[in-house]
Amino acid sequence: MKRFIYFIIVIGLLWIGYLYVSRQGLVSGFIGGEPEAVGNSGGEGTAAAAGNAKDGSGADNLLLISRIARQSRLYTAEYRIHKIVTHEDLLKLKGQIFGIDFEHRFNIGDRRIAIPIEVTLKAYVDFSTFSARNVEQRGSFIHITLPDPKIALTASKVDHQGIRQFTSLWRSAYTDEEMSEFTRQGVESVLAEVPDMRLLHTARDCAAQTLIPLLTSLGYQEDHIIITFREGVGTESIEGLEKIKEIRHEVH
Amino acid sequence: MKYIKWAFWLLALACVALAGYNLNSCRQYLAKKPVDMELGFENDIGQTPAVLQSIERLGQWEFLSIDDEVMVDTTDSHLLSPDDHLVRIYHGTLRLGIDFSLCDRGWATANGDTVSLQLPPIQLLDRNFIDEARTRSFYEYGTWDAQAKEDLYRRARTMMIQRAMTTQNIKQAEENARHQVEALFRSLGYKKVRITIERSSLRP
Repeated sequence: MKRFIYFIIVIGLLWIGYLYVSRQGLVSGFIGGEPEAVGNSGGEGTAAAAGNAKDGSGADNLLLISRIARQSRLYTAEYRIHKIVTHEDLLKLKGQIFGIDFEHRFNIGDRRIAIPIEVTLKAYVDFSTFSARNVEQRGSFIHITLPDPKIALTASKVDHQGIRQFTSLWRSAYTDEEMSEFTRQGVESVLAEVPDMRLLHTARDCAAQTLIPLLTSLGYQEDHIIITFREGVGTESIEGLEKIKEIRHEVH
Repeated sequence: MKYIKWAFWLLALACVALAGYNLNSCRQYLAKKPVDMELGFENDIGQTPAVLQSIERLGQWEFLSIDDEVMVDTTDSHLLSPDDHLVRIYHGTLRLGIDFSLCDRGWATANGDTVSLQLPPIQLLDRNFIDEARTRSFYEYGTWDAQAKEDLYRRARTMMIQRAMTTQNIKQAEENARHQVEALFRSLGYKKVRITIERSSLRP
């Protein structure tokens, strides 16, 4: 009986020690340490801010770095794009036997996930290079040549409540890291489809619709206002795609 | 008998040559990996269509952008097992500028070579500015539901707004707004440009 009580005490002490070590682990150690500087590049103004903050729930937050830049962009249209990102994690055997390709999927131990995402794109005209050379006035007529419109990814959002995943008994659920990777791939595929959506045509219309009321309020007649765009407007420029490529490059 | 001996040696030589040729071809065959198999899981997503849900016309002029990253974490304490942790790094770009849809009627009036402009206050142009495609999961231990991730998202957004909407940043955006708007109207031929920007409610 005495030995059994000693045994219980030793097990209890070991368990308390394990809990103590696990709570002093990687996460709390990192939060107490020096903040990591991410994405610092020389913009017009760079402000680094770092520190510890605690909210009411007792969780810690680490502030990283921010970059500030002066802009002159007139956003003329906003596009919301919805996509359901899917992934089937089937065990697959593929290869080649004596020059013959084969592929076989095993329906054992599979898992599947569907992640709804919403991507927000905005079309803008960059006015930082706009000057008197872009304006031509003849009598009561005014002709404005605007720079090429561009499209920027301004936000992407995962509908966490809408995520559905199905996992077989002997497989673990999808991790947060895996889901982040699928979201990244999903947004990348949306941006790859943007040139086919012909968004810049509506962007040009919207830019004209924004500027015409301004010019009419200054006294110009609506039918005396001509707004054109520079040549080469058909080549779609997507800022977000470049960003995503940069991220993927960093990841790999 | 002599010929038989010669024939035997010729046959032996032919056998050696044939064996050598076969050995060489076997080696080449083996180098090509006649059997090459790979067992694993795919990491690529499926092919699903992207649906354009809405197009909205805007009239927003951005004067300052703030690229920001914050790390947010949450902990779920347990009595008899290690605590669950989730740490995520969020990325977002906050855009400060003027929304022309908030302009009053007659906000721009021209008189000869002078134009007077009454602009609405500098504000945050997007409420949703976090790019979750660039969100990184830094550490995950335990099981986390959708609500926990939504809470982290909201906290990251609040933190970014608090960091970006400072008096200094709003002032900087206003200065750039005056500079850019004046440049635009001078390009249109006006000699004098009078600009009044409404005071932002966030400025003290």
